Amino acid sequence: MDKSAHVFRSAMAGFAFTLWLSASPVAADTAPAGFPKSRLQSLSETDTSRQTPRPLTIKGWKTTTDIKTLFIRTAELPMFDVHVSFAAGSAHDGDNPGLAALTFSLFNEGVSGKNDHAAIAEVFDGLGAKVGMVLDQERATFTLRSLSDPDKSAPALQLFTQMLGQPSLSDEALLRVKSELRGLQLAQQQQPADIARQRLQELLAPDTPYARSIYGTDADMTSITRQAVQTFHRQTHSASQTQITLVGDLSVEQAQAISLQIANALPAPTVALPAVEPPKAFGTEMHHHVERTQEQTHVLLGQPSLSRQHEDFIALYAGTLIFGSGANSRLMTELRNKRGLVYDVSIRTKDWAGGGLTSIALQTSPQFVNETVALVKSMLSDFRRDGPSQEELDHFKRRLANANITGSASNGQILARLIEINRHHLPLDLDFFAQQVQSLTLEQIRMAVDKHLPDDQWRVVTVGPTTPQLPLPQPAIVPTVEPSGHSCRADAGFVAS
Amino acid sequence: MDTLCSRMLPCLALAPLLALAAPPPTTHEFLLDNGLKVIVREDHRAPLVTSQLWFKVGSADEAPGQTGLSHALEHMLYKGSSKTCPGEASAILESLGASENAFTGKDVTAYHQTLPKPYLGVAFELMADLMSTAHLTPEDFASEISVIQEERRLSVEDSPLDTALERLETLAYPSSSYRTPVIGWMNDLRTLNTAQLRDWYESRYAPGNATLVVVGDVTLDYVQPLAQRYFGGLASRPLTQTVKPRELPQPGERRLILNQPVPASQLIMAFNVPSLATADTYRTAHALRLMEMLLAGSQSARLQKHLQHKEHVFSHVSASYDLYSRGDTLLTLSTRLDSSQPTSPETAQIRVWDLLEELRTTPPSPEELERARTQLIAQRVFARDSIMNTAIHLAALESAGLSWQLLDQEIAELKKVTPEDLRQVAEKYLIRERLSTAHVLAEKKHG
Repeated sequence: MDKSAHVFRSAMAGFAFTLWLSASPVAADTAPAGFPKSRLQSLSETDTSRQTPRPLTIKGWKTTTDIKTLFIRTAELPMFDVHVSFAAGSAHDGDNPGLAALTFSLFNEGVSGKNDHAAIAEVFDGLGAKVGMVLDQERATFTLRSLSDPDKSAPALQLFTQMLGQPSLSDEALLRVKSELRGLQLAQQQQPADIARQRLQELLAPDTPYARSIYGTDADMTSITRQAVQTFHRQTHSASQTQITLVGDLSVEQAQAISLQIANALPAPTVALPAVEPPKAFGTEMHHHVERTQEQTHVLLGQPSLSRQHEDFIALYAGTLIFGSGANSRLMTELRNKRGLVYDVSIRTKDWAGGGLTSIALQTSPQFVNETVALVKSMLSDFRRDGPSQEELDHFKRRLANANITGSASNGQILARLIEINRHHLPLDLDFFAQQVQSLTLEQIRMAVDKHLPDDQWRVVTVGPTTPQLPLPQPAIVPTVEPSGHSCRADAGFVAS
Repeated sequence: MDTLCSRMLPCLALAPLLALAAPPPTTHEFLLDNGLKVIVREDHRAPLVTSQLWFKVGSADEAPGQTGLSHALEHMLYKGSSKTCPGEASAILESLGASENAFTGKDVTAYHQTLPKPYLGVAFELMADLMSTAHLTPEDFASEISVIQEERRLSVEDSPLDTALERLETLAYPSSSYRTPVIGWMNDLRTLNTAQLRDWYESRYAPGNATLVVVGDVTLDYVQPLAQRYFGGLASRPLTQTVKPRELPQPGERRLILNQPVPASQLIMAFNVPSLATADTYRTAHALRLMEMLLAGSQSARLQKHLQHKEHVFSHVSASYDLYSRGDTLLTLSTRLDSSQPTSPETAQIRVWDLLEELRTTPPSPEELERARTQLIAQRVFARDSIMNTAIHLAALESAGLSWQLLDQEIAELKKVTPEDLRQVAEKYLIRERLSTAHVLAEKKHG
């Protein structure tokens, strides 16, 4: 492993960085005290208001080529994670739909001396290292999880770096990967959840890169040349807009050396691709049905929402979580607990098209689809008008303050949070979101939902069979705790108006 | 292929197993007077704890006509008890920031909560109440069984691969009750009732039939008084004999052909093999794990290397082997054919057979075995990142009738396995008399 050690040292020699900021955690602002009455002794005996998360310090720097790098050291387990993210998602395809996906898929298909996927995998497998790759419309990301033993980590890092910086991108591999992507296209066209997501994108941003599947179409892909792939690699996998995130059993010096090792291997910045324009206007078609023989119909409601940078983002995001996240949300209570219509229903918000996309996904028996969609829309409308209740907000704040402890414990969790901070240029504080939530008011949330999730902007996609429609089952009466805390009190809850 | 159906999330499989670097973490065990066994492992990285209550009851215990009973009971425990209204247990845990859920498998039903350490008593009090005073009312069951039927439609009926695996298991287990699907057959889900649930609850949820595993930022002095306080008062109850399903030594070759709306045909091959609990020696079971890894457990494994990346017979290959099954289990190879090639499942199977034949006659090279071993050991180190995973492995061992201490011996056991052990395992187990196959053919209906 001498060769790798040498790479390490020379990387250090050329290293210059600015340490902008380090941050240590502070306890989250106090969550609402006074847990609702219950019959549990343990709850009344435990202080439920103040907890301190695992103490962790974020280090941040920029490499000489301007790659923003964030790092948290956790030394208890002999392992570490490296995450590298490029602005190389399929929205950057330009006139070549499928170009980003082809380039992405070629990274582990050959480097100098290792001419196919199996040869590369053999090296990582022999070192016990795990490589992960994810492509979406916005970004291409690569992760390496390695044991921290230098005999294992140095060769793993060397190959990982070589993959990112000097992939062979050969004609032979390009042919293989085109065939592989055709298979994936075909598989996606058979998955109801994928079909629904694809149709929703088409409804929202027709005739833009955001309407397309990340794989493009078969015809588009066939004509893409090796030269186009090489150019795309140079343009989108240089230091420009690239981010590195590290967590684990590394010293700061080792983490800095790794960031520089990767930075130095990447193609020199060329004329960058122009930034992808967010859609100028959203589509006007509000409903789309895809007929398919299945036991259940997949329903997807969605509309554009806010970017992280928007001043109302946190209030809106909190509102959507109260409405539709977790086993006790409004959505789960009304659809699953009271009516037995679904196994799962949830709302999610993701970064999309320069802003955000908020969507609600559920699967139910086909005869209840119309009424279920009507119920969800009616619930959304009421939530927009009235906002959450004080009890819902108190519950949410307690939940977030405590989940902040359980959500920053493992290296995997810490990495996920740090990636978000890196990507969206958030303050260097793992507890930032949990703290912001504690100061939200009912009115802030109500106004954010009212303003940014208008009733008439929900697009609805259904995938399933057409059948005669039935009214919903009568809602079960779900008891809640008496204010005295001694028994259950009947509450019929939401009735669709 | 141990299918686990959870209360709140789509089916999940046991996560990769845990590794331990020497010395093993501090671990304690004690027994309450009512028979509840408690295991405590210290992990002080972060101020949280996971508490998992595992009952030795699952679909393997269910009688024909009552399939899905254990899983339905798991759902119903959250529908009200002496101290909770329906849904309240879940709401309380959520407000404490808990990651919580429950799942049912062939051998076990488990309830788990991961939460900040000061709330461990709340998790204990809730679980003690749910396991002893659940209401199980017909009114609540009426809507919950609809939820379970939707769960089945989602995870089995509309999932061609899961449908194929469910059907294949009915062939692969000719004499063992592992043939019963965890979620239950739809016909049985239409007739299950609360009298059956009550009977199952009373006969199976005895403290002596459970294991409580606690992993996290705790000590014995912190956990023991809490366990005694909340679980100690539960009455000891008679135990029902736990089943340990054994399979015929040579059931004979079996085959299933299905037409499904899949993008490309699939070939699934399942071999009847022993688990850690039923193998003649632990070494045999660890040789089977290494065999799974070497055959199809990674992108450099034999099937992937030769039949996916070189010959393009397959576009996807995966393998599974349930080490911690209480009874005899399966080593399963699942593949999707490469749709750009004209290969049939029949022909693909012949190619897989050639690779297996080679293993039966020639031991793998030491380098190849070492690669598989390194991957398994690394997986175990990586799995320690999650205290929930650690608790799952301790609890699964105990529930299989084995000692949790085997977890700390696994790396040493893996290191004993030789290339010749792998050849012998192939010769004994990867044979036609132990094989069940499913050919899932792409139907054109959905074009």
